[in-house]
Amino acid sequence: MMRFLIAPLLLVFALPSLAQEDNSQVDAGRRDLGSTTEKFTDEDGAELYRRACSGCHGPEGKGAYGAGRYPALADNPRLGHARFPVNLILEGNGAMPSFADWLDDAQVAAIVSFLQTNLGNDYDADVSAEDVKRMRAKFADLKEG
Amino acid sequence: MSQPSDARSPSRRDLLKMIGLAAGSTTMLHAMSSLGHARQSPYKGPIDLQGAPQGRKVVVLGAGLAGMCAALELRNAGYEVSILEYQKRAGGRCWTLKGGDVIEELGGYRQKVEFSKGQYINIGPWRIPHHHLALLDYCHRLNVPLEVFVQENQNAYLHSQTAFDGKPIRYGHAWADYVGQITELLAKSVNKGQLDNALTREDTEILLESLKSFGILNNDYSYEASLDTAEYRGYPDAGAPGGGLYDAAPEPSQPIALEDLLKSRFWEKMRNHTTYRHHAPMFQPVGGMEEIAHAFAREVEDLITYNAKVDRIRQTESSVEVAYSAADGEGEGGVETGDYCVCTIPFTILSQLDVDVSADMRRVMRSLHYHEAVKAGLEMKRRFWERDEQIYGGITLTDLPIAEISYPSAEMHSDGPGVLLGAYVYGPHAYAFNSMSPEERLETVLEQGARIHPQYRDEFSNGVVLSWHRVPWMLGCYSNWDDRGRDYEIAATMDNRLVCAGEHISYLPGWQEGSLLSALDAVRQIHDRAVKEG
Repeated sequence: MMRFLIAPLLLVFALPSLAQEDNSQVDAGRRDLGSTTEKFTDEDGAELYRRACSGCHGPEGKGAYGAGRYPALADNPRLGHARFPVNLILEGNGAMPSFADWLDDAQVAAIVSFLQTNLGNDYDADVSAEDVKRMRAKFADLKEG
Repeated sequence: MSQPSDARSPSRRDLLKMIGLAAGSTTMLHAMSSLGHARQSPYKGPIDLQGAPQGRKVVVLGAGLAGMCAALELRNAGYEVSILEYQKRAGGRCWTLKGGDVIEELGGYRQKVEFSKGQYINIGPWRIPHHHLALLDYCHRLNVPLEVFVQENQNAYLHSQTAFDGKPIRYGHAWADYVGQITELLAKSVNKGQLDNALTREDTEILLESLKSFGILNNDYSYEASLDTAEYRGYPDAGAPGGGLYDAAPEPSQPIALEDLLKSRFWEKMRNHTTYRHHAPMFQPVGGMEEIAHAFAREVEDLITYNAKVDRIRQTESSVEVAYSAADGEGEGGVETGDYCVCTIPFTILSQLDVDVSADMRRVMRSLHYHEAVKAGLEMKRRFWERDEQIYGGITLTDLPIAEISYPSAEMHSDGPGVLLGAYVYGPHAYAFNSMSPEERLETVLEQGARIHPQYRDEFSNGVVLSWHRVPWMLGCYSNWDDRGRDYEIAATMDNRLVCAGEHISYLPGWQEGSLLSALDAVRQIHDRAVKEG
């Protein structure tokens, strides 16, 4: 999963004490960063989660708390049905922006499947790219009102 | 002694000058409007609130520019005002990072800024258009000195990973050559009579003359290497105009081929500096953008309760009650009660709080999303961009994820260090940065920047990379309305006794002018209500 270890590169910096568990081992300096200005380009759910989601929700999905919060995705009973996370990823809600333009149906399905079967969640990965496509159209219709 | 100019009647400018001297700038502004010089801003000078009822109190949530502006004006009008602020500093996103500052991020990372004395990065807003009249007026009233911010620099670069072997191209070369060659194509097609149906013979002649002049074309309507085009695009390295006997005569420089320019897609970036909001001159406060926040805070600091995390906002028919706790978990919270409330808490956070507002307002709060953004400040030991590359201020644009490198407009040509804006990242790339540790972010920014400036590795001293989604009091950078419509009206209209303000309640998202204009409108709504209620 982790393609390159960047430890040698990082040794040149004095490491401050980091409270956050540091397993987001990005191959520092890789210029495409799994993304373009228009899209995320990874296909694997774990990789997509790390790039797109983990900055806010945490590498272990534990969430983060400030004046507002990023909810924990670890051990989250609301992930039992795909409709909920698919809706949030596509439509956003509050601090959660919409990722609809940046992720295709297969990528959304891959992230949701990852969430349902990782981070302490043990649900059936019950969503396909086809399902996401259907839901995308439906949510857009609802918004149009 | 200056002589009064004899018999001629005063010009419009003379008249304006006299009015300005006699009555101050506000009167002058009104006078200018009536004389047909209305400026492109809804700001009509300092707000004038007369007849505030006795003993009315306003609770302001947030000590950013919008909150402090509202507090200042409401107190001036005779209201009692108190401000609750989550942070232990005032200013909100009007934020300048200096040596010794510490950034605590969501997720636990902590960055200590190590810049040298006097060095800084404006990690939020960083430039002021000359038509942001409210902000400029407050800078004037609150004694914030400004200096020029260089936006466009012909000697900065355009850079593409895939064009010109990844080597940066001087902006001015690409610009002059692109304009020259598309002008040439147009001129040649006009000259062949292909536009005869669209233009009269006379207009065609004028068009040809203008294309020749604008594109620097020769008598055959060709754009080519010549001393004429060098006058615009510049000279070869070993052929610039000199003096004396040796190497003095200038030589022409070779234009970049049109095919290469087209493939580079540099044309995507060539209107960047000519958008209305980036027209020259732009300004920045001397010493950092946060000088504006400091100036507001000097006026209203006595009203601010810091470290106050708003937990609940209750509204009754006659009051607003705001419960807060200590943001750092140490110390006491409390309840602040007022007749009205100006709420500048960003919707990313407000939508998560226990707030009494209408169902419509709640829906809008949840549906407004915020842009992501990542910005980097890199201190370099030496101002190599100036000494090695003659780049003084301005912005290099690249298709690398860092997107831009901006060179400092302050302390130009000094011997000391300088801080570059090393990245200004949007979109999916910004989330990729958001997922990295500060060290990874910095390493990525340096690796990319070094593709454009190889001096990076030798000259880098220290740096900071901020992802706005990790800022505990923002959870994002600035508001991202798709389509304002009715939802915007709901957000901007007083809801019972609470009115929202901030850049998100404006048509200038992400600009401080939007925060101030929104705050002034919120103040007006409260004052109108208070006068009505007596």
